[in-house]
Amino acid sequence: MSQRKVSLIISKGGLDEIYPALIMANAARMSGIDAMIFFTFYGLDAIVEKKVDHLHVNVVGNPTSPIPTMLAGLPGMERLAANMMQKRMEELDLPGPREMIETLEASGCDIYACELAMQMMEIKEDSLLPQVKAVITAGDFYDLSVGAQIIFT
Amino acid sequence: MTHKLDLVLEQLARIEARQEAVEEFIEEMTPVATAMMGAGITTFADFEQRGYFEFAKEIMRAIDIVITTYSIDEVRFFTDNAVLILDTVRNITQPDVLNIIDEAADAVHDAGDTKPVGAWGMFQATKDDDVRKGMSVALEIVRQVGRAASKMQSGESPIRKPRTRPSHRPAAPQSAAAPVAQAAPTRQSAPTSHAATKAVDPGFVEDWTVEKAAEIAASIGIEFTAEHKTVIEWARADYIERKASPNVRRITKGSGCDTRTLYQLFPGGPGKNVARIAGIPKPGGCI
Repeated sequence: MSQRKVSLIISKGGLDEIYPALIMANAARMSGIDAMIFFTFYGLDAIVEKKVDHLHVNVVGNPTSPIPTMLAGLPGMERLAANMMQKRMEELDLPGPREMIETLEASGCDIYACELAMQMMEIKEDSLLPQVKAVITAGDFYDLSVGAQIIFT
Repeated sequence: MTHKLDLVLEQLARIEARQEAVEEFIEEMTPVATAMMGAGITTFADFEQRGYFEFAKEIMRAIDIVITTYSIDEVRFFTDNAVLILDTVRNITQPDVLNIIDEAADAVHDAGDTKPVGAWGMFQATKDDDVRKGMSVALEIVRQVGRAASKMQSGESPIRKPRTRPSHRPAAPQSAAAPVAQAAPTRQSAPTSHAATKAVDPGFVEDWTVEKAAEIAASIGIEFTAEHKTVIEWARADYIERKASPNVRRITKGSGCDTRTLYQLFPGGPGKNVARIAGIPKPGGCI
């Protein structure tokens, strides 16, 4: 059986949008499947040092949000929801995004940042987490994903 | 003496009578025979004219080509399924089916003149009743093919009972499905990979020793070193204590081996490989 590989793309910045992809990458590594993650656009928040610990859950305009949008839009509600989720994750002993990314890099998952998105949002390379392997373009992404199953989130 | 002569004379008379009869017969038959020959020659000439003999020659050539091209097994397959094949051909050549195919071919003929349509054009096209009808026929075809393909996958018998069809119903959808399903009568459904990977979990191994661990490791292609031993023994002890196999995160926290090293020691999935070598069930959970 040939070596399986998954290439994940994370393009959105909510914790509910980043976390599942990180879990999928980790599960792939645990099963011996090669994995790589390409962070682009708002997904870059997960690999920017200053932002990774402050990711929010989408509560406004989210049809599955536990808080109705009219309330969720009030100042501070989003932070409240994020704290509640954080507490829940601690109860279950789930690692936060930073720890997930550290674990992923240690398990052999390659982490990349999108060059174009970094230019658009004026993010400098030295503001990224140390686990980021390189800043690449979409074309590079495809070259690195030969034979891989690409999952776009 | 005269008696014998009489006999001979009688004999001669009889022979003469017979001779006459034969001659009469020939006389009467000759025109008939001539006519028959004439008719025969005319007919053959007619055949030649209409190309029968050329055709027969070509048929012989075709048979020769078939014999040299196909192996006897293929021909046997053909003859075994001749009824099916002919049934399908009959289906396809129903007049109403041929009509539809003919009209469709017209569309292809004019294909060069048609303008490309974009998304909006497609949306507008769905307002046209003919397009709507065509879509439903196309969907029906897709449905039939899907049904037949599912039957193929589940290994169901591909032999279809021949149906008599009311003439107004287009026969194209069913006939499209039939050859697909019947073309591979001996094909078996491939086992899914889920079944394959689920099979390899021996669960808790009672009579486990460190030597056995080394053997299992070797069978996966892992060289069993002292570092491996530490992790394995810790994992087994942890399972026996908590009655649950440790997941990768727990192993990295409890065994003293960090994530990086763990993945290097146990490539191919530390969670399941540690469990296999330690003779404990595969860990559950996602993290």
